[in-house]
Amino acid sequence: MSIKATNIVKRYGELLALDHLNLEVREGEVLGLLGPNGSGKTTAINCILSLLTYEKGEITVFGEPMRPDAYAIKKRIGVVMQHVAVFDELTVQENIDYFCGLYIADAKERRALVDEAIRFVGLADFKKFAPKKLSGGLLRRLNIACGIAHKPKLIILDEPTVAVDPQSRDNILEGIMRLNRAGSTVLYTSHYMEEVERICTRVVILDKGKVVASGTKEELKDMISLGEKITAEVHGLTEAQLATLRELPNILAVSYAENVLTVKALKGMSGLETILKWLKQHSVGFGRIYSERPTLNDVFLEITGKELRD
Amino acid sequence: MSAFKVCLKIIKNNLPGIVIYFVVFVAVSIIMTFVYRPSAVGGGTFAPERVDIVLFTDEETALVAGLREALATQVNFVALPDNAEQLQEELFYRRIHYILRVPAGFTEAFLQNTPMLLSKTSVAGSSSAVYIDLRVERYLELLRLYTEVTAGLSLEQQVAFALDDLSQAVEVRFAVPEVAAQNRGRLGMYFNFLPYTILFVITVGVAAIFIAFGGEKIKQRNLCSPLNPRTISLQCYLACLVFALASWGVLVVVSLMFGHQEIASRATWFYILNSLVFTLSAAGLAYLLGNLTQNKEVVLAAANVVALGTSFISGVFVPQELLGVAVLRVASFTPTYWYVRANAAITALTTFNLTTLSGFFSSLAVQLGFAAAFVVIALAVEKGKRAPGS
Amino acid sequence: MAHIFKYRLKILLSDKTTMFWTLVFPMVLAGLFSLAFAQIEAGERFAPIDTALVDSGGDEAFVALIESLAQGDDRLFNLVRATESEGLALLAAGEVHGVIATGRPLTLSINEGGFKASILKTFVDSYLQSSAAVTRIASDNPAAVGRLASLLAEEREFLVDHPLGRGTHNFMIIHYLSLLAMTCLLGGYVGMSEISAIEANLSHHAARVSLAPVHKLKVLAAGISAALILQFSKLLLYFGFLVLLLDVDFGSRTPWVVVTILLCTLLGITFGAFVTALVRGTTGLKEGILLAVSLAGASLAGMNVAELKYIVETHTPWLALMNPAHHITDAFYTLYYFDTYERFVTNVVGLVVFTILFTCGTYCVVRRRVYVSI
Repeated sequence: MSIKATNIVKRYGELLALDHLNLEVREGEVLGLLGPNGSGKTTAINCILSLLTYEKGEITVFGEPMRPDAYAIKKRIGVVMQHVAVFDELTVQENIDYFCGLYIADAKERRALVDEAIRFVGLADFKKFAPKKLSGGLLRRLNIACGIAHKPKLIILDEPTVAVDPQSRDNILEGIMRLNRAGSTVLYTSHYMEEVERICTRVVILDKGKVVASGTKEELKDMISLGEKITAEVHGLTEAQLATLRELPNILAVSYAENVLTVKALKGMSGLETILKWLKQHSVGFGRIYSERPTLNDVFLEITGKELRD
Repeated sequence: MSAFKVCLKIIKNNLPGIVIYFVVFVAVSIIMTFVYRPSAVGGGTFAPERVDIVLFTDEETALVAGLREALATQVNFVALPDNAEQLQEELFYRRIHYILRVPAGFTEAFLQNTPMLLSKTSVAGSSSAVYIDLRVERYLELLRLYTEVTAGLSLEQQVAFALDDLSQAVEVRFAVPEVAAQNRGRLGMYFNFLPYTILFVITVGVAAIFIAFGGEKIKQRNLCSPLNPRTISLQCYLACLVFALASWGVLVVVSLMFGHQEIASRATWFYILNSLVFTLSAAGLAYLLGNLTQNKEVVLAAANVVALGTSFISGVFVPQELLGVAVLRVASFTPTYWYVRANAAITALTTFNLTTLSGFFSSLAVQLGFAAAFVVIALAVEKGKRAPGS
Repeated sequence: MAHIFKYRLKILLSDKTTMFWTLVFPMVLAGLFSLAFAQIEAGERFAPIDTALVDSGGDEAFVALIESLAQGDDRLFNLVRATESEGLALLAAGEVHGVIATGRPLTLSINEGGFKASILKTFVDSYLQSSAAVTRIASDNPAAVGRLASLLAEEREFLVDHPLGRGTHNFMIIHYLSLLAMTCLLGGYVGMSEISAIEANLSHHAARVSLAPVHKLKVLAAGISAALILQFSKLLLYFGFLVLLLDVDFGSRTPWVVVTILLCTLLGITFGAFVTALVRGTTGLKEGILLAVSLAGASLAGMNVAELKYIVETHTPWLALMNPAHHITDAFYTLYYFDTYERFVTNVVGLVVFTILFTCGTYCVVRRRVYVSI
């Protein structure tokens, strides 16, 4: 077990930020910590890293209790923080070298690691640039390089792709998967479900400081009743017709607005086939029609009644 | 007026820091007002305070006894051992101000007219020390008249005559009742120290605005807005002015609280008018400085130099009459000089009419000129910075 | 540690603007002091005193004397003859500093006890004393009057100045020393940035550093060392400027002065670190406290009005004890003034105590490694 957090309680004054949180990160996995803004993701991370105090609970990392002076543990952790934490006065290369130097004392070894980190994030052409001259996406890449240059066994990334262009985002996500393949355990927090869906092997969903669901993506999607969502462009449907549609077996919900028909169906049945049959039966013409599997957002919505992204 | 409102908000956010400066500067000004006497050579205290001195004599003669008596009105004699290190220390801590030594044979040499001098050690810059020097010399000069010309008299008699002559003093009349004059000095002196506080507090407060508006992204955002950049600048200036006037208001209220017995005096209101006009030029200067740099450390350093430096050379701490002509010429390029001049003009007046106040009003006019000039230059600088590619 | 030191130094050095201007401005200030003081020390002749003379007769000798002193380029007085009411009107208008009216007795009307009024009084007093002597002698011995005139005209010295210790006469040095004290204390800003670099609740890269397997205090020590080297170099340059260009006399014990500068640099930095670590609030508030204490401290140590230093020492010694600027000023002054080192050592001990106090205070706060909130 890379990280084990048991029963963590954390308050900010009156506000209960973490409510008996239990979290496990297994070795070798990419765990996604998903939740809306204010759900406690960053607080959980900071408590795990011993940056914040907490009222109750225990945290172990690599099997050892985590403390501020647990240097042996810290040496094997790499953190990419939510805020870009680099020095404006140093160049890209110097920044990476400085932070890597806090972990790796040997200058020769460090030089090789720094060069590798720069190549890894694709900043080779920007080595001598000052952070002020980099775009938002490149800055985030630098932020990552500073956190992983020392090849840590456990990498914690806290919303690393905020305000990043699509190309950089792709680059970042690819990089994380490569790191995982090379043997690092990854704890990845985000409120972008697409990212979590893409790279995470296991997902934990947080809301109001509590774990509301956890498991693999499939397990999570199986948790909810929604099996399929069908969307079709349809003109001139009447209320009577919609009523008959609602009466079909295994139909969870039907909505129709601005000529778009949305039908949510239970698991197990081929919802698309059913809808196509119904449309043909009632001689209703349609344009585009497509079917989607449930997303993590749907999981979150069903469990908590809220959207992941407000 | 959105830029104006934002500027005021920025100042409000920075208020804790600004208030600290206020309190500290005002406290120091008040302390200085109570203790200050122009301390340079020659001094300004009309009735110098009695100080402690040490007299070492290697002989006891009528001359020496007379010397003691001559000094008795001005000093307290303190008995201390003749130990150089201990005396050094007593002088260093101003526990004694003066050491006078009468060498053996001095009286004889004096009567014979052979050169021999009394040795003195004094605290540098003490006005009391200067008066003691004068007293000793006067006594001996007068005694010499008798010893040279009335040889028939005994030394005791000559000393008695010399002491009697020494007691002659002109009758001094104060054109204004002395108490009132003393009181007037207080507030005048407080207002004299004001430039230091006003310049520093306003510059630092105004700087906060420019540091906030100076950020690259903010600048770009402002440039993209449909508002004329000149309008934004002027709104900023207006906010500076409002802040400056509010600060001035607080300082005046404090001054009236602390100098309440002088509220009835007409001089007080002229002091206040002078300080108001100075505040306007201080606001302009602060606005110019803010336009020149948005680096926080540089602004603070500049505020220091401008406030302290101009105060020094303009006569805030050292009276203008003691400063050299060259210095004053340089200082006249700052509004502080004209403020101090106007302040001094009021302090010297007992009647207030257009004729007597003409000097005062011309100093005010110069300050207003500075105020306008600073704003114009600042706007020019700001426009220059706005030029594409800058 | 060398790794951190190297980078902290680079970071501090890279801000060239601040580096330059925070050195230039104390120099400009010292230059202005020098300008203001130069004339006083040279004992330059002051401007003639505007005086009104109301001559109602009977004192020809006095009138002749004062008129003679109102002639020529280096005259003492600008004399205006007037009636009593005219004279008082001129006084009220501030156009003359005093009105002397002849008669028995001789009177002097002034507005208030200012510097020029003192000179007028001293002048008239001298005249009255001399003329009393002359009158007495002449009445007994008329033949001696001629001799008296030449005696009165003769200027004779009776006093010789015998300074104890080294620099009793350079009073203006207090201003320079307290300005130096303020410059040392303003090194607190550097101390502030070092603390911000390691306290996770003060900056983002500090949070990153907190996560590294390196003791926070080690990082702080490396940072403070870099800051110390930088600030010390700046202060040495400033000292060189004062001594070589402005001719400020610090005495002859230059090596000890340099050591004291080093100590004061450390004091300033640890002071800034202490304020930053201890004070809860915005950066603006901390900076405000730092600057206010430095400025007020320097003012109370004599930067504006030198005498204030002594008044504080005599009337509120606890204030002097609490003021680091006072200790710094005194350390340099005792080195300059006394022949022995005893007092200097006492002051150095004071400086060291302050530094230790600030360091310990900072340590106690900073060693707290987790935060309730970041």
